[in-house]
Amino acid sequence: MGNNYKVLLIKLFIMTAVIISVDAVAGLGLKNIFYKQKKGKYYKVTHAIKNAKEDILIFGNSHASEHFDAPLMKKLTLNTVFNFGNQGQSLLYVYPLVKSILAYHKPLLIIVNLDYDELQFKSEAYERLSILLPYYHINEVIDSAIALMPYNEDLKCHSFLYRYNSTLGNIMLNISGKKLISNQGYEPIAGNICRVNGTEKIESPTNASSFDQNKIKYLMMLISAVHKANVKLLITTTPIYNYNANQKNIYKEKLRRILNGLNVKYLDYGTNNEFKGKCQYFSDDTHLNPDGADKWTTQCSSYAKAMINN
Amino acid sequence: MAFVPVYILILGATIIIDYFAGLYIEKNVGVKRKTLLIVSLVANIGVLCFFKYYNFINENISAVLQNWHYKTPFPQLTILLPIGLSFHTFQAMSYTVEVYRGNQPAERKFGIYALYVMFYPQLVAGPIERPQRLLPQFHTKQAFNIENISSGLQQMLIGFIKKLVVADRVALFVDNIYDHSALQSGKSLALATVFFAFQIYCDFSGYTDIAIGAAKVLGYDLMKNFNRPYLAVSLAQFWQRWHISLSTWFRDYLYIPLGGNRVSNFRRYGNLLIVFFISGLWHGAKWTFVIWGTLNGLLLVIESMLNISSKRGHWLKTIVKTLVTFLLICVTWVFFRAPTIDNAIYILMKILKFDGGLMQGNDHYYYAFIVVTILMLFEIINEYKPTLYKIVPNNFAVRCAYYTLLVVIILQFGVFDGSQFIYFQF
Repeated sequence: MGNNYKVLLIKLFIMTAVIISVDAVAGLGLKNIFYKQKKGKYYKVTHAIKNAKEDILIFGNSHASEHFDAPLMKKLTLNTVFNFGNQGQSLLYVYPLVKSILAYHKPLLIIVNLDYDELQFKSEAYERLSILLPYYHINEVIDSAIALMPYNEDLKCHSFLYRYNSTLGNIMLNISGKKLISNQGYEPIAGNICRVNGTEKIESPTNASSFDQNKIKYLMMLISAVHKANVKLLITTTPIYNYNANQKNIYKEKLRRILNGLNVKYLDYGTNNEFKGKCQYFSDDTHLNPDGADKWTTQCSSYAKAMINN
Repeated sequence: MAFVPVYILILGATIIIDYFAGLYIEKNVGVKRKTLLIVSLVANIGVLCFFKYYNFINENISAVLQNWHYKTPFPQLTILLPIGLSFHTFQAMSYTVEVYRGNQPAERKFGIYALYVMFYPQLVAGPIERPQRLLPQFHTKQAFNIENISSGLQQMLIGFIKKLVVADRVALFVDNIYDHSALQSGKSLALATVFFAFQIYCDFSGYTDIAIGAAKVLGYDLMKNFNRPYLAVSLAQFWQRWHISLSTWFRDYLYIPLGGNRVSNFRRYGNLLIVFFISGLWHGAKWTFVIWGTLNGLLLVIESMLNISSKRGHWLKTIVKTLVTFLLICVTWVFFRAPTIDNAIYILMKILKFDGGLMQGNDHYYYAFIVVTILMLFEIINEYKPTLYKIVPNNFAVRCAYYTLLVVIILQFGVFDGSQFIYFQF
């Protein structure tokens, strides 16, 4: 039996050594091709972390990526623009990116688009931070965001391969073709809801106990970092088709209080009458179509231009 | 399903009842023997019914009484289903029945009997073992065996691949479609249903592989629970290959006692329907599961009436029979996956129309397609050309490379979102 144990331990040792080596080599190989992506969600993060040099930087979730027509804004403000908005993301994603950029670049204006319910706790927001896993150990702020994820993701990131978990499909899809730079991160979605019956009235969430303290902390830190870098900051909320403005929304109120308290400009178009109920501008209840995006971008651009020139 | 520490007392109580029932059934004869068996069965079924079906029965009684403007006097209770209840209840019942039938001597050692019911690798979701297979193994001293450890770990690794790389990966696509069925096209729903068939197969057989592998590492052999079910050429064959431990349980303790194949065709069909109705109910206290079970029974009856054999013939005929069987099984899975019967019917109607485009262009679709194709490739080789593996030399270097590849696949393609096994809810 003693001999059997020895054989088993030796075999396990060899296996472990092989797995660790292959993990490191394959991880490095993937890292190499990962950074060759020319478009897609990871390209935006890489651009933020490595080489953003635009004057106006836009951050947020799909309401940022689909609503801010970066090429149009460039034309209207005569400044370079890049849209770092990524679907389903939150302040937990925005702050590490802004902080990473400010470490090497000073833009003229940073625009952060936030939903009314941004400060509400949503577990998906943490799971979606997996977008940052390939950048583990790039800098401390990225690592601290990864540490917020559930299921010990920071521990799993000790595997080089795991950092690129589920990225191969993205790499294959985005390694060829035109660079995203042509659209400057803007990802319009077509269609309108004029022919759809029964759109939903967007109600305010009522659960008072689910403020996300991490998001509140990240918002404060973001504002502080941008102010410290002497960069102008504009927080926006893009138009919503049919928002029920009469209902109390504790998250919106909290957001407003924080922004007022810290003297941050807030452009709130969530209930703006030029958009409200105008189906021709919306592809669904909360997403503008290209016509809506252009109208919104035009109005936002004049505000941004005034801010930059002030 | 939940783990509530106090529920161990319930499990403990049924273990004590069954343990003593076994001893006294063996000692006694005649009516007393039968009474003891009934006491044991009532205790087990009673616990199962209370935790799993109380609210379901109450809701249905309430719905019926409402027609006459009456209210049920029984309150709805907040009950959490104890972990693995359906599985260890069936395993416990098979013990007392086998002792009663004289096929198994009663277990004298309480600890061994408790281990039989609570053997942790298969406690939560099977395979549902028989006392004749498992109890003798607990009486044998297990020596350190490097082969057992090696093959056990290998099977566990395969199980993790099935769960993390196939089932959970495919689930990303399926959940996306099924959770928004009203917005999906018929083609997307059809594809999601096909993918769900693979999701549930890999989810459950993946768990079984992990359970069997873990037991093997400890030196114990558990029964095979799946045998490439989607390569079955008939529905009867599918049920011989799917969740084998449950199918054989129902065969031995329900179908055969009801008369089995020795009765008239009419009664046999009735028996099949009863078995599959109960099998559906065993899966969950929801009408969707009952319909799923009954529909499977109905399809088996039709297959039996049409005298469709499970024999393989010409390759083309085999392919057609395999595909038809698979598609029929997919139809039944719609009821298993959909949240309500109305939703299931709505989905089936949309699938029949087969309109709209496929929801392509996202990673989930591509991944799901690739992993399912690779899975089926291995299944086909295992089924029809298992000798193909012999061309690969079986030495440590090759095995090392193979295991490393599996680990790489898990790390790169696995989904680590903490999702549970589907069958844990039963």
